[in-house]
Amino acid sequence: MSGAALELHEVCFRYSRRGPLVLDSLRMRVPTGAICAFVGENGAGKTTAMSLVGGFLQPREGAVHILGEEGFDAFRLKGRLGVLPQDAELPLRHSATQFLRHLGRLQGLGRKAAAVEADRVLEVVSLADRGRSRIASLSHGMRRRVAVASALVGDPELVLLDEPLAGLDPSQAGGLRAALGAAAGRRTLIVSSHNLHDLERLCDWVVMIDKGRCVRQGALHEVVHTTRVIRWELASEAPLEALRAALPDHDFRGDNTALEQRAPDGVDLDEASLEVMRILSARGIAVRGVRRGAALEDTFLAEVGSKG
Amino acid sequence: MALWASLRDVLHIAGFELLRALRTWQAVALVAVYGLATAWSTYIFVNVLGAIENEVARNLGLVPAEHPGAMLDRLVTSASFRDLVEGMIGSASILDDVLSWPVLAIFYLWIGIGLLPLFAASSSADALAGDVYSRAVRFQLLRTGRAELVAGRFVGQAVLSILAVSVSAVVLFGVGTWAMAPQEDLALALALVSITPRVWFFGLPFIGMGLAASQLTVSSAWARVLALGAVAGTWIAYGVARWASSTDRYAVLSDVVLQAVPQAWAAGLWQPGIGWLPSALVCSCLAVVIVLGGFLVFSRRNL
Repeated sequence: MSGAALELHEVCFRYSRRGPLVLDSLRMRVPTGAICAFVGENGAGKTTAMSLVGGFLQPREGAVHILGEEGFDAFRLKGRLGVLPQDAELPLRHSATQFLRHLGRLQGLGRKAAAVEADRVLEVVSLADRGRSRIASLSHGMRRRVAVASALVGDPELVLLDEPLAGLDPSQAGGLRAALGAAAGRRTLIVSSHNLHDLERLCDWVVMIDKGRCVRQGALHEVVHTTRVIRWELASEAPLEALRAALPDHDFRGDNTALEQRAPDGVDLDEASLEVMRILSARGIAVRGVRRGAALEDTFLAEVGSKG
Repeated sequence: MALWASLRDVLHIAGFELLRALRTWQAVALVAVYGLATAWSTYIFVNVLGAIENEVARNLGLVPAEHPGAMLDRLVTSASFRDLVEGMIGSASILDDVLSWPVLAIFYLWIGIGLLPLFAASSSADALAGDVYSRAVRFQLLRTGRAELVAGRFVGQAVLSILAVSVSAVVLFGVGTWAMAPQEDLALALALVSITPRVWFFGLPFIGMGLAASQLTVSSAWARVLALGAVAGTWIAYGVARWASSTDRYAVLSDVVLQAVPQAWAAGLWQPGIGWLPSALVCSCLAVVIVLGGFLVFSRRNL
């Protein structure tokens, strides 16, 4: 168990006795300190898995280990676990500050500490100036940020955010991403989102699920092969024959102006990329873009496509 | 330590529940409607009192009084009034003790026993179901246990009911002193203060019914129907059990039912001195049992 902030072992869940399995022997592990992208299509089971961790749902089979504790227990995990539940309605008649103070008090903070903490998390989500406003008077994006702030109250060790960036405009999303990224290493963060581009910029660990099962998990750089793959975008067709002759250990695949270079394990990819650039330069082929590794989105689609 | 943590959470949730009730106008609506119902029924009662007084005056060959309550001294000795009060308290053994109270104080406890169950059950039926539906309950459930959540909501509703009962006492005092001939206001006020806890204790099992219903469904409307149905059911069960207790065939069954329905313990709330406290304790225990009945389902539900 050491080193894992969250582990799910063979967890099965269905919403009704005869309903379909929403989680089908789900096994996943998120190491302590990771910022984890929790990725899956609609209905894959992401929200259900997060709800199980938060204790809102109870697994029919399997085990959930949270911060070394077996199963969810509100008192043993008090103040150590933060969850942003998807679609949970905030108390609209209260102010954001009142709401967050209340949650702080429930986490065991004293009156003064809860007030300080409410102000701090509102600052984190850039809502310090709207803390006294009733939640009903806030825009959708602001409410979403209050909900995110609720998961950060008390600086918990493990935070699960279900679609935290949904409904936020680009600048709000950027600000929140930066705030979440700033906590890297201090806490374990699990973020589910359909915007894989956003997740890729934020996360260092990824868990992909499909139809209630984990199809891939690991460090982001391993999953997207950043150490073994380079993708080139060229101005004209790639000289595949010349490249294969110069670097016979490498696998080159081209599709018109797109070139994918896969290196064997242990090869210095920097050196290999210089060789490719020399060959391209010698033929007068301009390079329009280079990317180390595959996009998370492409990797995800490849995984889900191959399993489906 | 664990008990203190639980208690602390219960109080925080109760406070937040109360604040929510005030912010959503639920508390104001409850107090206003309950106060209006009390005012209206007090006004009717005062007029009934006046009619009985006029009848007594006619029998004695006196001139009827202009305002009800002008001849209460004679009224409390009249057979028709004694019959009325005996019907209200459901017992002849403590009739003389009760008749020593101010008339409006007698009515206050009686109307509380009649009206509060409906308001208490209806109000508390909304305490959980809506939040489970909107998933708002998840914010609290991540940080405290389900038992603490339910207990906190119960305490919040119980405090809300104290507010409603107290306001109804003030309303009754106001309507009574306005519509009746001058009475001993201080004696009435003191009597109302001493009776308020009795009314409140009687309301607890019905708060429990509302909260139990609220734990069974995610629909506030359906929870309210269940709660009001349960209140009506206890009245029917009480009436049937009282009838059956006089028969040989169902005597045992009816005795069991009479232990379990709050209405059967209402008679004890009329006891003088501290004699009403055992009935109040039973009402509290019934409330806990009823809430626990709902909790058996709620504790295992997916939320």
